[in-house]
Amino acid sequence: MATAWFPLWLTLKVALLATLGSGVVGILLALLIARSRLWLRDGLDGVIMLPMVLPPTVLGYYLIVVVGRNGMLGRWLYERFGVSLIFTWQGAVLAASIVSLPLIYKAARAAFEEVDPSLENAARLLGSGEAAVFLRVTLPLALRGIGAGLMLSFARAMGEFGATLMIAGNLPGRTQTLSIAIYDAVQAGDDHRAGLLSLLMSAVCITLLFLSGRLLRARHRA
Amino acid sequence: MSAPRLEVDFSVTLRSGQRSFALQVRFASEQNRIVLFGPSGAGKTATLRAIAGLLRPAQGRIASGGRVLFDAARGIDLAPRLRRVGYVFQDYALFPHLNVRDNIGYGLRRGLLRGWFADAAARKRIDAMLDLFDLGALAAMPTRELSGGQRQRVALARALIVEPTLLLLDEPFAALDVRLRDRMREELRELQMRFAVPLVLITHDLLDVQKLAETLVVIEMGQVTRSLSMDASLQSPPDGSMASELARLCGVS
Repeated sequence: MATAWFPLWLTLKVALLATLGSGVVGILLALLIARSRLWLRDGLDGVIMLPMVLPPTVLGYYLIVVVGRNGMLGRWLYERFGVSLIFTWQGAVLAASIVSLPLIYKAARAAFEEVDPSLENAARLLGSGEAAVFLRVTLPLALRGIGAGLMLSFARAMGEFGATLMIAGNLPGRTQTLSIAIYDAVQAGDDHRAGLLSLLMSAVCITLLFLSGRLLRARHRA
Repeated sequence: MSAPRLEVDFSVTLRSGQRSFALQVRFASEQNRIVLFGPSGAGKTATLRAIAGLLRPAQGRIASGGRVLFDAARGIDLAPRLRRVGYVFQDYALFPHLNVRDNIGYGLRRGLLRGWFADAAARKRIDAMLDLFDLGALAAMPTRELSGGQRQRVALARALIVEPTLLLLDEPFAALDVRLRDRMREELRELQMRFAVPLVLITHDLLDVQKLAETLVVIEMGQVTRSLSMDASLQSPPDGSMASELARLCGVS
């Protein structure tokens, strides 16, 4: 059982960091696209949504092409900083960030677009500058939708398998997350371990679901 | 002679999808209660939005009490937040995440951090507004639980607390039932005098014109077809011809 704790800890760490990364990027992109009349708005929207339709293995392959030792970004990272993302848990964070990005982006965009523009105009006419309009009206009204999107992102990042396996590999004690550990246990014929890890994962997910439900309901009442 | 209360003279073409609509509005008034009358879709709300700075005219000039809010020729286009114009939206646009008190106090909190700690002076002004509008008992209530009349009072209090130099109202009574309308008209008249704020009100109800208008501006199909000062004889008619006279003035048959 002791060996179950590392995959759990790693999974939570990766999912948390990935949610943070995709959250910041996704919310900013959502704001940009919801607000702007950029001509490339639809194109950009499509690119951000790509990780949702592409198979995770294809995504993983592209990541290897970009950040692998011979990839454009990967070579620069290695030569400049001596850093390589391949076969590291940081690589798993990158993979999980990218697959969870469309979820938070879409939820945040919908939340921003649902805010009634006349409320923002009312705030402007009461003397608020654009930053104050955003912080005092738009963001509070979009918060519930953004929160729900973050939960989805986190769940998606926790369950991430394909792209993570391609880029971070399956190194027990280093890059082996829960999903990969379960797959590994089944492959090795260790049904007992696979069942245990699956139960552990289920417990974490149900707890999250419960917590997020309470969080959303509490906000609703406020 | 002092500058007119309100001078509006602008033109703009509004587009929505395939349709386009030319709006050309010109009127001026020395008086304190201006009523814009006309059928739906005539351009009344767009006129109000242009005065507030929510709609940018292609050409023209808008000035209130001698202050230039917009002047295309001189490149002046004051941001809405600098216009000191109060706006009561048709659906009131109350902030759904704030209670009655915080809705009313919204405009007193300037800046991002300053005002998180509402100062005593602001608190007093909010209390005074709550009293004036008979909303004291509802201060902590979320606005979605209010009735139509209460919502309108909150919207008025929120707009007036920042002491605007002009108050714009988009069909303020449309959502109220007939009996309440009469009372709110009276309240609005009193408020206008108490706060000494000129107001521009949109309506397509002749009774609003009769009870409130000092200046009547009739807008039809994007044009001002009539703009006149309601004289005393009309305010207190000798016989029952008032309604028909009013209807004639407003171009309603």
